[in-house]
Amino acid sequence: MQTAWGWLPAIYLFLGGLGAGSLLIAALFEFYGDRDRYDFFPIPLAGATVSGPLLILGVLLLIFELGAGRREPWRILYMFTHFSSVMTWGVWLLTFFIPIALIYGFLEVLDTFPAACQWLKGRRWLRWTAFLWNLPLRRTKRVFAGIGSALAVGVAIYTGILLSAVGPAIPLWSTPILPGVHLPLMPLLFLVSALSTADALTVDILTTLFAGGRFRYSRRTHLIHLALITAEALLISHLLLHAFGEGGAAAESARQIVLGQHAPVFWIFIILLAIIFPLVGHIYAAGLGWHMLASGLSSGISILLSGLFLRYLILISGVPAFL
Amino acid sequence: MLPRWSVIPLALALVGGIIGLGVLVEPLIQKVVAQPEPTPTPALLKYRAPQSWECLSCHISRDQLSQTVTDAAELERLWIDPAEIFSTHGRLGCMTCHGGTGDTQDVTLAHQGLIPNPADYREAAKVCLHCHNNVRTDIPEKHIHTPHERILTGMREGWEVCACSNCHGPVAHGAKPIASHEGLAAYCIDCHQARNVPPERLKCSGCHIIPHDITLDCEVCHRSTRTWSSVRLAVHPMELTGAHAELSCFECHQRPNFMGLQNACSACHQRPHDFGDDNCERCHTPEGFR
Repeated sequence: MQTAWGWLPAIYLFLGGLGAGSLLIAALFEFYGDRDRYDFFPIPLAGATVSGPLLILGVLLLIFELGAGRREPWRILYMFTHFSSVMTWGVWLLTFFIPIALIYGFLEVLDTFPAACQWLKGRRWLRWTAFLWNLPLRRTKRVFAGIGSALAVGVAIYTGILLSAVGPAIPLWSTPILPGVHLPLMPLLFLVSALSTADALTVDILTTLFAGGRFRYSRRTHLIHLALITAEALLISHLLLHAFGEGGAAAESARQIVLGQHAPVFWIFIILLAIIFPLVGHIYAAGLGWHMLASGLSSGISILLSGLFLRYLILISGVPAFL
Repeated sequence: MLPRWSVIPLALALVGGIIGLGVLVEPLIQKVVAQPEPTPTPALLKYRAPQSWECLSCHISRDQLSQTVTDAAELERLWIDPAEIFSTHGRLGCMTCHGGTGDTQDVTLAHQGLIPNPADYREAAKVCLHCHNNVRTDIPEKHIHTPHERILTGMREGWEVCACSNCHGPVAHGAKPIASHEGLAAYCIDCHQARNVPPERLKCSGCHIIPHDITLDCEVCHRSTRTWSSVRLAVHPMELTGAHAELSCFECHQRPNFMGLQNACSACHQRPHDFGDDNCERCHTPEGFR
């Protein structure tokens, strides 16, 4: 079993996925969810504002985890120039994504809280930014939401690409999307999980808490979330079945997950909390049209927890191939 | 009703809480559930390439080396081809495997704690086995059978076994004896003969998994290790010419030991006369059928 990656990478992969997914969900409502119909809409507000901070926290943990990042931080700069490495792609994605996410979050705050906007406009030390205040806020916000979405897909996929790049050494991580197709499954699984966890945070929990779970497209939103949970279940099944079929180190990883040392985590936090319980909760919510407080909070928290455990489980059960 | 602004801190606090809960709950679950005996894992090999530059500054320069080494043969042995440092193992840096003291130009100090052959059975458990602790004994896709399991156990237990480099050579320095039979012979066969290793271990099947379902020794049919696919047709009791030469062995012979023929002549040839039976060989030979 690989012992180099444990909780810390699992946490920053989770934060990366959740941050990217949150921005995607916020942007989705910005473009299609009638954001303009409401003065206060918790989904885009939470999605846009938490995205940047979560990514920053994830990057700090990543730098902390890299031995060189702690001892000789300037060596991080080398990561910008090694273009054949997926790490470099990720570094560039994050370099562009974080500022865009922060600006988008800031614009969303200004849009939701006009008083804050007025307060800032009145500050003398911000006079030099006067030309910015003349820009149309919502249109500018949409530009950042659009650019941010494209980068967010990249960041969410990247967390999976990072693992599959190590794949030849740890066969479970390089499981193909379909037998015979040389595209790894991890990026898709992590993208689906990123969207599902972000949906859980912004829609299931925060909208239930702050808006009683009711908004114009809530039923459709729950159906989409239902599809995401189903897709995640299918992708996890494919991951494990393929690993068992492949034999060797991949099968050993799958055995560890389903029957071995990590089986309790898998059955409780993935099967029960990520699939069965949220499926029931979302079928109920889709039928009703909105989440009740209990169903929204419980399914939201269970999906968030399972998103974290999914990454942890995949990392911790990586069995190295024979070298 | 919660104030609107609290959406943002609440979202961040929720994420923090979820992470904290996950980190706390997982060890508790692992404690409650009976754990199998953990597989022993070696400590990590310390990556010391950044400290190895001073080693290279001397060892890739014959001029520098000649200041401390006078014997030409010894100088050549200690010289490192700069191209080798970009190999997979070369990139790990000298000190990662060879130890010694880094970041110094003092020759004596630099060589303190040096491990001349890190692949030796006395050292390999601390060096090679960090990454290669899980090597296979049978490699069927390459038809190779190796004594890896016994050697790795020996290294862990401190038995006198051969060094990794006996077959694999000094992997960070370009040599690849395993790539050819000639290279292997120099390292393995001579040593095995000297140590009276049982004769069957010196045959092809001592290292190779036979890819066919047959029990004959490889060398009965195969001519050489270079052109292994050409078989020793001279051992065939009848000359294989014409259509016979184009057949694969098992279109006529039976597995696993070639005893008997599964196809009689009459399976392909028509009997042009009424007398006799289907056993053509009673009267005919392939050389002079008529």
